[in-house]
Order: sequence, then C-alpha cells, then structure tokens
Amino acid sequence: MSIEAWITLIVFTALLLGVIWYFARIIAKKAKR
Amino acid sequence: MNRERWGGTWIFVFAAIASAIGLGNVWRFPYLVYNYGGGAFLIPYIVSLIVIGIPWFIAEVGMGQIMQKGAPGTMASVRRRFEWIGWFSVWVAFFIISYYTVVLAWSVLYLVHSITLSWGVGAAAAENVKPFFFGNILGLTNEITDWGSYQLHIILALIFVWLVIYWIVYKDVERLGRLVKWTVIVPWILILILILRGVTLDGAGLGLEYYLKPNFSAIMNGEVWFAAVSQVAFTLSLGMAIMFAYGSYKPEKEDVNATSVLTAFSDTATAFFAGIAVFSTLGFLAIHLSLPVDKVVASGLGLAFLTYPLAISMMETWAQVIGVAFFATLFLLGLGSAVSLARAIITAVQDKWGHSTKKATNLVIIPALVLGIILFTPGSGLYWLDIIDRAVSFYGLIIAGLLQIVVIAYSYGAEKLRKNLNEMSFVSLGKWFDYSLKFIVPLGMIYVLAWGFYSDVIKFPHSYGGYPMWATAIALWGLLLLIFVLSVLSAFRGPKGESR
Repeated sequence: MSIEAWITLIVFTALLLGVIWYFARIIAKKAKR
Repeated sequence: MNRERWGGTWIFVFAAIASAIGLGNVWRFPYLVYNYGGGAFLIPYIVSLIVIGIPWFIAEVGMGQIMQKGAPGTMASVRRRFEWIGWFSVWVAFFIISYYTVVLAWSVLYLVHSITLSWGVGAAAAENVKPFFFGNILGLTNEITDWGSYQLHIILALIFVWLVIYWIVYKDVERLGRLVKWTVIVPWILILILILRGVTLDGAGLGLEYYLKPNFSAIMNGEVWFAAVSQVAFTLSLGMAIMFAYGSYKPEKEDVNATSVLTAFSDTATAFFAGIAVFSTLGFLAIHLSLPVDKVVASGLGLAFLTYPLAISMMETWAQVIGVAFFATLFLLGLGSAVSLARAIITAVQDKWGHSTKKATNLVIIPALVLGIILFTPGSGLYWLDIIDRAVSFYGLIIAGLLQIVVIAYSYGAEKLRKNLNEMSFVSLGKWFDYSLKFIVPLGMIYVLAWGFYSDVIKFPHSYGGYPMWATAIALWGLLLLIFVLSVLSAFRGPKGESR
C-alpha cells in the first residue's frame, strides 16, 4: 500500500473510533446518574 | 395505557445502530469510496454526515421522543393536516420491507450453500457464479415481460426470515432492543474475522490501495457530492418512519444529541471497516484472476452474490468459514434494519388504532410477506425488485424525508426543537442546527432528487434502468402515486391520529 493509503487508513480509523469513544464515554458517565 | 420503553439508554443506542447498519454498509459504501475518489470521498461523506445526516437523525428521534408517537402521530401533533406525510414514510417502509426481506432470503440461501460452496471451487467457480445466482437461485427470466415460475426455495427462505422478524417484534420494545443488539455485536465480530482473513490474503494491499488512496480532485465533482449526500440519507434509516418510532419509546426527557452522534459515527465506522474486508478480498481475487482490481470491483447484489462468492471459492483455506461469516454478516445486518422497518409500521398502526403489539404485528407482517412472495419470488422478481427499490428507497424515502423536515423546521420550528433537545441532552446543539434543518437538509434532498430525476428521466429517455416505459410507469411512478393515495386514506380514515 502507498503512504497516502496508509495515512487515510490511520487518520480515518483514529477519527471514527475517537468520536465514538468520546460520545460513548459521555453517555456512559451521564446516563448512570 | 403507558407507552412501552426501551429500558435504558444503551438499549436504544444499540437498536438505533442495528437499524442504521444494513446491507448498504457492506455492499454500497465501500464501492462509493472506491468509485468517488478513494479516501478523499470520506471528506464529502463526513461533511454530509455532520451537516445533513446528524441534524436529520436528531430531528426524527427528537420529534418522536417529544411527541411520544410514531411518524404519523408526530406529524399530526404538529398539525392535523400533516398526518398523511407521516403515513407516506410508513408506506415507503412497508414496500421497502416487502423486498428487503427477499434479499435477506437470498442471503440465507447463500449462507447454506456456502457450507458446500455450491457455485464451485477454484477456477470452476468463475464460470459458475453467474448461472448459479441468476439460474439456480433466482430462476431469472430473460425479459421483464416473462413473469417466470415461483422459486419454492426463495419462498421458504423468505418465510424463515419473516418468522425470525416476527419472533423479535411481536412483544415489547425492550425485548426487541435486547435481541437486536446481537445484530450489531455479532456482525462486528464477523467483520473483524473477515478483515483478518482479508488482509492476510495475497493481493490484499493492492485492493486496499484502490479503496483508500485519495484522489482529492474528486471533491470538486458534483456527482461525488450527490453520492455522499444520498448515501448519508440512505444509511441512517431516515425517511422511513423508523427513528420517529424508536424515539417515541424513549422517556420524554432523555438525551437525544449525544446518542444520535454516536449512532451516526458507529454506522460510518462499520461501513469503513467493512470496506477493508471487501477490498482486501477483491485485491486477492484480482491477483488470482490476473485482472486489474477495477475489473473485479462490484457493488450491491453483484458484490454480494457474484464477486464475493467467487473470491471465497478461490481461497485455499477457510473458504467455507469465510463464506458462512460473510453471509451471516449480511443476514444479521439486514435483519436489524428489517426489524426496525417492521416496528416503525407496527408503531404507526398501534398509535392510530390502539391494537396490541401482537395484533398490529400480524396486520403488518402477513400482507408484507404475501406481497413479497407474489412480486419478488418469481423468475422476473429481480426486475420488479430493482424498479420498486428505485421508487421507494430513492424517491419515496427522500420525498418523505424532505416533507417531514420541512414540517419540523418550519411548522414546529427548528429553534424550538433545538432548545427542547438541549435542555435534556448531554451535549448542546448550536444555532448551526437551525440553519441546517431549515436550509441545508432540504436543499441537500432537493439536490439528490433533482440529480436522480435527471439521470432516470432526462439523461436516459428510455426510462429508468432501460426497462420498458410501461414497467417504470407502473412500478416506479405509479407506485409513488399509490403510496400518496394510501397515505391520504390512512390519515383520514379511522380515529383522528391521536394515540390511545
């Protein structure tokens, strides 16, 4: 794979999982209260 | 009578994700990425997701939650005369589920056939995959005018699919939520297995290169934005009455904003990772057939029932396991979506006529099953499925969504909705939400409708898909007219749209 393909893979994996992790944590913390 | 409840925020989240992720995440999204600029496509896609998909999703769930009713009841609560708009999306859902379950039935048949690789092993499969799908499975006729014979194995598989749906939906929504959670978790595990198998095949890097390597000039192309906006509209289960119904089973004061963003991004991530499984396998197939990757790339039915089975047959190890995993993934992803379609219709029926869940389930499932058998299991079924899919899941869905968003943004009020939701949500929406709901979402949908109409009617005067004019007149334009009439009748007959 080219460097551009690797960068796309890493950036979007981090972005998508990062957003999911961020909002899942907010919900997990606040939904308990 | 007290309204049913999901029984927890996470049950709702998983039910919404189960609804959103479906067949399109596996067979459409990866192809769009490849076809419209590789990794660069993700930029218009995520922009469309944020400015159109998420506000639209929040509006449907939020309005359902505030009004505590499905789509028709919610529209009627805004203004009595808008009830038919809610029914329009319910009828769209009804026609979609009638053929969507047929595609699931094919997946079940392929799951079973994967055990023996019935379409052949190795090089023989290259000759056999097409006759196997079009002949052995579909019994496809040469012309749409030839109705063909009914395929008993499809009918039996379809009945099986409907029995599973019935078993999930006939009781309360909490039980439904706890069951459909597995149509998210199991496919995630299976996709991980497919990725691990895919990336360890020779040629995987080549396939992924086609999938991911960005071509940034594509972002300036209008067709790329059409593809991005339309995929966002189709993937989040919007315009089909589903999210109103699902929202209506949440407590009146519960977060909408954070759960909506989480659902939308989980859907995108599922599609993105499914693409890695698909394209690594396509790279492997290209190497084994000594063809360039762009000659083996496919989407939709072609990917699921021709290209992927062929790739599986070329695998020297784990072929059957990967076959079963792939078709089980398709079946489970589709099942979660089909269940939500069924539940959206059932909710609308219950809100209006006050039936028990069991009675409403029977009222919905039996006609949808009969319609599916009559229209989509004979030899010409694929042709009718193709035209009706265009009518309802393109035009019907976008028209329903456009009308509903206009009602919400202008009659109920985008600002009022935002303020209500911000009071009960974990994260607040800014004023951008009002502009998005009032202008960007409707304009996006008008853009998609206009582009679709241009390609179907103006660019190709021989009518959609090259089918005879009479066929599209009946199954596309005629069906849309029928849905309109049925919607008006549903709204103005029986009790006045009030929940009992």
